[in-house]
Amino acid sequence: MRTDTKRFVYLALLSAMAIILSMIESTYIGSFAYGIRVGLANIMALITVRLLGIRAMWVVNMMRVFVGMMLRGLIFGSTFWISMGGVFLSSVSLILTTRAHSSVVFSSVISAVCHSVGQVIVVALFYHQPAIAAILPYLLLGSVPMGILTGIVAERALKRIRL
Amino acid sequence: MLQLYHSVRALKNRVILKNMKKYERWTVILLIVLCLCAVLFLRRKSTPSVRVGIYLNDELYTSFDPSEDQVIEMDGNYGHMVVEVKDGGWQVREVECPNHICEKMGRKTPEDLDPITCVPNGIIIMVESYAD
Repeated sequence: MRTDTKRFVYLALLSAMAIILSMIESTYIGSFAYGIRVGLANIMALITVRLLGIRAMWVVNMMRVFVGMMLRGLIFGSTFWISMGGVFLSSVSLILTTRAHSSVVFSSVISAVCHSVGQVIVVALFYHQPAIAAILPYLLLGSVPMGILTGIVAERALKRIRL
Repeated sequence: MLQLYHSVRALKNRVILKNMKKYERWTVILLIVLCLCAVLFLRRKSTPSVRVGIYLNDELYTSFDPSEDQVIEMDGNYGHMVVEVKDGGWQVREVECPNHICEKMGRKTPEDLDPITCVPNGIIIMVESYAD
């Protein structure tokens, strides 16, 4: 019983932090050239998948998209679906890299790359803009250093958390 | 050179790649190399055949290739305008209008998606077409 409550509290805290980080990023940091972003909220997904497992990571990621978008007033708009595509593919890649016992930094890089790919797929398929694929190399080139950055932060944080 | 090698080794052992497995490192490096190749390929392909159009009252007045240096002079609804094309970019050098906003918009290159607009003259300068 006690551990269940503890898990639940951790899940709530991690979700809240993910939502706050995604809001801080969209409000204060914004995106660089070609729409490259740091992806701070991905730190929380990386921490959750290592601490609480895959199902909890889905909850955190979905909460961050749904509640984050609701708070910004963009829910079910085009930004929402593009963001959803990115988060879905990055979650899937996180599951695969976790199953393969990859390092945190590598999972982070792969999930950052998959986030960009997911967003581009949504724009290309559902908004009928296949030309967007031309910016994919630029996006991926930005995703790798950003993924390493968030991966290092997540790794450092994971060292200090005792569940 | 030796110092650089040692500093790279120190960095590798300290933070970034300490816990990464060998195949993971190579995957990341391969990914970066592939992206760089794709970026270089796209850049080489798209620079030569860019065409930039100058629109007067929503109709194409003339178009130019930004890789050829030239000076284009034309008359808009308000007055005279001089567009300078140099080193793959273009900008409005002189214009007769109240606020000179289009001059302040500065130099544009094919990578810029935003057009230069002069509302009093009814002139818009924008990239018309890329390679394909």
